[in-house]
Amino acid sequence: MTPLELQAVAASLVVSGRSLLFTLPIATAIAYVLARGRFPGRTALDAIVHTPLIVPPVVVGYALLIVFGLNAPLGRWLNDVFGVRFVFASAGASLATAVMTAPLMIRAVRLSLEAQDEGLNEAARTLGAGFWDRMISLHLPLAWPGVLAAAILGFAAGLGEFGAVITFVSNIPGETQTLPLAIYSALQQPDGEAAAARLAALSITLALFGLVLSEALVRYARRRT
Amino acid sequence: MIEIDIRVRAGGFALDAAFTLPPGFISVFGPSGAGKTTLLRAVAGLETPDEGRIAIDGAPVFDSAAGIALPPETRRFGYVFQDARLFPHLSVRGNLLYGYRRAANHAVRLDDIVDTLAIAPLLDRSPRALSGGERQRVALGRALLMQPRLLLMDEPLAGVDAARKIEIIALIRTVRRFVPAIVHVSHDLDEVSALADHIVLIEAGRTVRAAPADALLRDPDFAIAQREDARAILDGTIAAHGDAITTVALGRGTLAIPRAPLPRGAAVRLQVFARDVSLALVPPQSISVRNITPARIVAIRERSDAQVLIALETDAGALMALVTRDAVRDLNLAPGREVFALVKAVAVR
Repeated sequence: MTPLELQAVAASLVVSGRSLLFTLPIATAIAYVLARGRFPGRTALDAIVHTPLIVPPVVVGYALLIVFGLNAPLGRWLNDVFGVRFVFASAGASLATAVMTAPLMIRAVRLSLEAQDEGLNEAARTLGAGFWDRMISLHLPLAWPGVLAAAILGFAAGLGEFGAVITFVSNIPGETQTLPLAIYSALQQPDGEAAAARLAALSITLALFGLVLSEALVRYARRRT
Repeated sequence: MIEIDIRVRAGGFALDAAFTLPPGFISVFGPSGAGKTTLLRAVAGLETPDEGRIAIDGAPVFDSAAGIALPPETRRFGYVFQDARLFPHLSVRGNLLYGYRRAANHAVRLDDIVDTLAIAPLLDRSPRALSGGERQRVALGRALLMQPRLLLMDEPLAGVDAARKIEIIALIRTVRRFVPAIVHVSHDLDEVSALADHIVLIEAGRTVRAAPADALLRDPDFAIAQREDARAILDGTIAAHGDAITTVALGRGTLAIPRAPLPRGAAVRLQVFARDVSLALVPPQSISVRNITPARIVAIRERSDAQVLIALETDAGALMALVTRDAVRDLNLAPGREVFALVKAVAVR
């Protein structure tokens, strides 16, 4: 691998890994609330959660710029108070990736939660377990193959995130230039086709590796539970 | 007191249940589809009644007029489901401790329950490796260890084979001391007769009668007396053991039963089927029946099957006898008449 390729692979892994770290707990909690909660506004939450799936990624990136840009109140406040800057930064790439992959992960976790036996939920309730208690003590332990599958899906999808990332944090080698952005850059250059092909092969390998790993883990999990 | 007065409409089915009974063992008895499970689910809080009130010792857990509807998790009502519903990701021990860890007091201890239910060898097993009877015992233990104010049991013997039934009934009788009150639903008269202090009859979604179990079972004017397995129940204590016979003290009298492996003073409930009781005008000699007791006829009722049900009062308690019309005529049986009751068989629970 050339240093540039290595840089792109590293950036992809860091951006997607960090995104996963933050998104998985939140996505799991939201999935649980959507699968098991009964409260006013549930339908609205369901709709909001799904918007990144149907809105063009460029729009998501643009929306993030409006909210977290240095000219936006929230973005400026985060920068001034905590020194956290998202625009043109790797952290911003993770944020964009998180927003784009969360719906996929929520869906996957939610499906495995909804497939569970309602009878066990009722048993846990009569035994004194409240809503969040049941999530920790009953539903997640039973759904963990689904959570694992969601994590791998989210990570793999995060590696390929393009539109929202390039719109929000631009294409900075070594910082925000992940594999897909590097491929895009290569294609912009005259006789960059060979470099693009190599990067594409890398990214396909990475994706396949993730897929095989996820299958193996899920099969292992099924045997255990 | 256990107060229940609720209307529930659930999927084309309407339940109208009302009874107020002292704590103890309450059996709700009725055919399948009469609304027994809906009633239990409403008491547990898993189903919300359209209106009414559910209270225990005066404290409501549901009261539509006052806008009270506690969620199941704060009612502290243990529920033994028909299908056990053990958590598959936890060991038997983990299942037993699930409610225990969430309870505010720990008056009922794990060791007591494990000993009483004889489940020590199962503790580290997975629920999937248990038989139907074992699963039911663990589910019962799990519900008792949550320190419930009221225990709800839905057909606890449904998934248990006939051979294990008597064993589980005996267990349920022993665990009564761990919980102040039990509401149990069943369509099995044997189960209800063996366990209940009070019986609530439910038919087509309505509770039609609530009464002490012994009085209700031997009421000659009531539906159960029309059944082929009409019976009287007698509560007594083991008085003495002979070589082959155990004597049970009941009221002012006694009955002999085949030697029972129970200590003296142990409480037992005897069931005497009407079909196992014959009548004689003089004490018969040279007869194999061991239990012959003076009796007074209280009531005579013609049944729809051409047999006659005779309600009796004896020193050992109230009994019923099933005889033919011819016998009534030939022996000139009538209310108030003194006779001898020959009890051929007594079932012990």
